[in-house]
Amino acid sequence: MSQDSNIIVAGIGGQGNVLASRIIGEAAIEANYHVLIGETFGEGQRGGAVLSHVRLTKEKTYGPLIPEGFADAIIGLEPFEALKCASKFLKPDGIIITNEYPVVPSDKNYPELEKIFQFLKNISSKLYTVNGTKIALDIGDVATLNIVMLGAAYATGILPVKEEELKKSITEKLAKSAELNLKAFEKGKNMIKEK
Amino acid sequence: MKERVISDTPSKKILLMGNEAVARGAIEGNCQFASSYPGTPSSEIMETLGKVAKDVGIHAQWSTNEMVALWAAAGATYCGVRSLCIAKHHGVAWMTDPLINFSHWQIGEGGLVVAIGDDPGGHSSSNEYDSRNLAMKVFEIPILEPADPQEAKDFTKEGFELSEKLKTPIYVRLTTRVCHATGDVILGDLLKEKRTPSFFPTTISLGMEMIEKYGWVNMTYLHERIHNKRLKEATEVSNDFPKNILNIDGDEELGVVASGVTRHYAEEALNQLNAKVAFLQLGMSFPLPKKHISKLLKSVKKIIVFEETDPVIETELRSFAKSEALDVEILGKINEFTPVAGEYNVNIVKTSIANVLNKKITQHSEKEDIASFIAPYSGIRRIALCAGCPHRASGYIMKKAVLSQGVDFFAGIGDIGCYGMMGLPPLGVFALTNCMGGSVGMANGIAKTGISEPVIAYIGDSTFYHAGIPSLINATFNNTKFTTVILDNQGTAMTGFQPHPGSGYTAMGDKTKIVKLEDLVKACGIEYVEVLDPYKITKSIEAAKKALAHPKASVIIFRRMCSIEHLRQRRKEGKTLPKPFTIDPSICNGCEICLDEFGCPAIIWDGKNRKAIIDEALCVGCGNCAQICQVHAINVKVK
Repeated sequence: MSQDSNIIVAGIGGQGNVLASRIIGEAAIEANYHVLIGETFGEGQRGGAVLSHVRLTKEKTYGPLIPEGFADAIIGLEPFEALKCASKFLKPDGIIITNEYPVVPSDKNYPELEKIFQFLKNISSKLYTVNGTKIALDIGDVATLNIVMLGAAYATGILPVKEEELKKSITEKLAKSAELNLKAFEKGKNMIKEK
Repeated sequence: MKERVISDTPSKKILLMGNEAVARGAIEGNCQFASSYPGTPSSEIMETLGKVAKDVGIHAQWSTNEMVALWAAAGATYCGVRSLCIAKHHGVAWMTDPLINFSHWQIGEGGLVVAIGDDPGGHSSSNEYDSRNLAMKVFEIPILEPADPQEAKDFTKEGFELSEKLKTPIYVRLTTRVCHATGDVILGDLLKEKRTPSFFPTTISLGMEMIEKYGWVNMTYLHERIHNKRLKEATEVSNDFPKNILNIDGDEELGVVASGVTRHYAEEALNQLNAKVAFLQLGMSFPLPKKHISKLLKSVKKIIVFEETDPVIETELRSFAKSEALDVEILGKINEFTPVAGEYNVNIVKTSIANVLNKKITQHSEKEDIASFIAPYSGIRRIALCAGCPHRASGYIMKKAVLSQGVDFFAGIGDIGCYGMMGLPPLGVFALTNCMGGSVGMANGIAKTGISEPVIAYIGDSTFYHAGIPSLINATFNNTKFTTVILDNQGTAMTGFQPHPGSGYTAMGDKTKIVKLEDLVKACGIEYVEVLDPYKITKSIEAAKKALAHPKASVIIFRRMCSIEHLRQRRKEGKTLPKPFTIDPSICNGCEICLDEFGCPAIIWDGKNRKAIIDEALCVGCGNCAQICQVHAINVKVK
């Protein structure tokens, strides 16, 4: 089991967490892992909560969803979604890497941001926060947020894959905007390194 | 770029979604015809096949409904080619009559695989019924249950072999967690030799054989053949099916039986529990492998069965145990030992096994303070029609038109599609929904009861082609007055915007003649038809009023492309996107009509200043809100 890795990308529809999970999956195949990825959708459709469960195993193939309390790491694209996910799925010594920038629903009914981070810290002593949305906007496209966070996640060491495989997968999957997204990956990675 | 799903790299491992893997399995299995009607969770099978069909010599089509799809697929088998029919579980109900007959009589020389996406938990369906009941009890055809993308590919391919061997359609029963799981799949060979089609149905010779023997076609003989021949031969196949795996030492007290994705749940649960139990995995669940079942039931004292969503295997096991007078206790849904409904997961399976073994387990539980912090906000991202959705405008128009008739109540009936959300606040234009085509169907009865309220049936474009036409003819036939509103967003939007007979192109991307809705409606005998643009709100309200006032059955067609698809196409073509709108706070009087009556997710209430504001990131520039604002506070944003 020790080599196996259970990671959840938590965000809302449109943030690109499904794509992020596929990029990890492609790279993991090259690292000789069995890959199984599953998604769960929350109450909404577009703009609703989405969790992408990524299961990387060396020997057995399991079902696509990570059991509660069994995730090694959470990659949050949105802080409240990261908290909901971590509370339910993160194992006791698990890692959280999350975007700091919230997506507030139209009626502005959203919990206090500071408290979200307090609770995240409460859940995990290994919490990394990055203002991924700001980085993505600075690069020139908010759609690169998922790749910024992927870079940050890679820098924490939670992804058992090679950097060049991730970059190869980014280049293949985002052919049209590969350059921008590779820049996003680097920026995200450096944010963690500098911390 | 060549699609990965057809890469000619045998034994290479690639990442595929379960649905893509089914498509790959069909290609490896030398399938030459495929048909389907869109439905989540299985829509991507045909989407994948449609893209590559020409490269691999398959005809792939979206059919008008699942019944037509099945007829077409079975028809192709009579020309000796292998054929695949795909649907979600709801679609199986449509296939029922033809499939019973194809099962009793026989399909052609080409194999037929029916690949069905069941939806335990009903994530994207109006129920979670278990279609294996039909396959097993009504169609009486073999069922394969893949657990992951690799098996989805392998079982589909194997299905064609079995179909030709057993001369029966083969039912590949998928579930959401298989269709939508993405995993590593080891590819097999691509067959390049295609079969030459030749029309050679064996049905007539079967009929002649019976006439000679019995003087007429003998239905009892046909039914007996299923039980005495096919299912017996299929049981032998099941005994040797490589993914019917029994792990048993002989000294276990407990046996676990699981099929489909629950096999993986059971495997993980057993690993976590480190428990010694006998474990029977069923990749082929009907007919059951008597060899393994007999060995297992004679060896252990207790059995737990895990399957989604009905006790299909469990019922068979109970009947086997009883007929063999075996002293074994069977635990499952029937004695409410396992959950009787819904999707399973590792924890459900683990808890059930631990209960029998009297093992203490510690389940992960959320910290109380965090859970109570989250709880009030758990529903903040609620289901809604998208910004710019033409259905919102159509609903608003209809509500205004109906209420202007001097009534305060109306009998609105909805149907299956995105527009189902028109039944929810703030639009609330209908209060009843059934299944595909149910709106126009039920209107036929509701309108004849003599109620005084206006009767309005709402149906989508794809749904109308699929299931609305006979009910509309029925209205003409029986002089029934109600108004049918066809919400034409020019595609099958809810499942990912697949084409339909009004789209002008096929699953393979070929151009085709458009079957116009207004022509169809007129051909159904409807004399009053209005085609309206829902983005022209005031004009449409007046036109809708006239249609409602018409003394006979009338039809309104609201035509405007799905806003998501519209924007997608504009981006693809490199065209500029419409500019967002903005609300002038000096004019907005805070009446909240745009929020309370229209409800676009891009409009936000600024409680502090008691004004509405537009979220520029969400606004798609449709301008509908500008038309309904009573004080003209909304305009295109000028930078």
